[in-house]
Amino acid sequence: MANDPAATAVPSTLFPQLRDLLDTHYDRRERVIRHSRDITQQSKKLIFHLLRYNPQATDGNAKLFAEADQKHAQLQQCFDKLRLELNASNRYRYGQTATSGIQEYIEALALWKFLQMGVLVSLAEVEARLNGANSHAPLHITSEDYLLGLSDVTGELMRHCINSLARGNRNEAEKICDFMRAFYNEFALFSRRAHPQLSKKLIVMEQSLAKVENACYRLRLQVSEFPDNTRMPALDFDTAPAVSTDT
Amino acid sequence: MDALKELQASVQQEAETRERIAEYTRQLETEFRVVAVSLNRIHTATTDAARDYITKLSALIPPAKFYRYNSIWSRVVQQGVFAAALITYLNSKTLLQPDQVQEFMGAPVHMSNAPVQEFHITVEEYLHGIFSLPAELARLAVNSVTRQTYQRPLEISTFVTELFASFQLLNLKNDSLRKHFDGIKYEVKKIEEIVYNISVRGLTQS
Repeated sequence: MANDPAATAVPSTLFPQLRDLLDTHYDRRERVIRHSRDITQQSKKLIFHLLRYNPQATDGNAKLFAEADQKHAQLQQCFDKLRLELNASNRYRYGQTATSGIQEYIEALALWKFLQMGVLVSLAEVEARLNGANSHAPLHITSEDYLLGLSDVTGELMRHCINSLARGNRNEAEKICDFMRAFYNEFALFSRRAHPQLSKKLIVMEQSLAKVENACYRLRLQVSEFPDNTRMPALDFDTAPAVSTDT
Repeated sequence: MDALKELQASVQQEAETRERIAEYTRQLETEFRVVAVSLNRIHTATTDAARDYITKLSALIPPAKFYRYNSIWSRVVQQGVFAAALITYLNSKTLLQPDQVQEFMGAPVHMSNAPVQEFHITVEEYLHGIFSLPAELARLAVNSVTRQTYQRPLEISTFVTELFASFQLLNLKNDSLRKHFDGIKYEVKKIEEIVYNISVRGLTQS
């Protein structure tokens, strides 16, 4: 019954082969992580840059958007590298690894589009912008990436809204508030079963929206006390310095 | 005539013995049939019925989106590979090879990093499946001692030691495969202890 000592139960070539397969896979995943991290960092820089947007700028923020275009060109280079790793079925094999970078990028684009046009960026637009000239083998964005990326933009819009209030720009603040409310209403309709992370994002979104709504409410109360609007009172936000249109 | 009477008694006794043997044989047959059926079930369940479902799954999933849904069935497939690996070991005392997997599962192991063209078993699933083997074999070694088949733990020990040495050739990252692999050393140790225990009692020279 004893095993023939000469015959091995495990062929000697099998595990070296498996090791090579796994190594290649791990290396690729490592590269995807690196590209995703680069994209996250540059997208964050782009977002901070966009938040310097001033609704009252005389040049319509042309310089700001021109600089944003430069930053975006760098992002496209990162996506060129990522696209090579995520070809065919690898799109989903490494999709979870790449998603945080992609989401951050969508967040930046959404903020950009809102500042420029006051509307929501579409999935097709995101794909067109990140792929740029590379239309032959485009990197596709999943609905999950898109939705989760968009949901983060409310945080930035909230920041932008409070900034606008601090600058005494009531119109911009109310525009943001309306946009966020409409966005939230649409967003809440998505099935949370499809993407379990959505419910978490929805809670954060709710909090951002509440902050913005409260800020607009207080602003309205204060405006009602100064109907001639000759003097914009300071708001009692910690972040808001007393800015007023001096008479 | 006394001699015949004696003979009659012994013939009668023999007939009774025959009958008793026949009775035990029938019962044994029943027992063996149960064993055979349960063994068959291992074979057929992993081949026919399971293959049907694998075929249904593969019809549902476009190759490019394979990894989008892979996590849903991955655990089950790992169990299937494990069952196939156990059957293979019990049959031939060898490790289930990736190219043998298709026979059991109805889908091949994807032994490449090229994009997926068809439904397959991933290398990770294959490895998870065979990583489960030492734990089950350790259990089999324990029960073999209980059933007094002392040779079997020795065979298992040889096999698992070789298997574990092979596993160590892999460069595993800090993921679920690594965690699974880290548990194997305890099974190896358990089997070594069993071998030690039966060796010191002189039970291996039978």
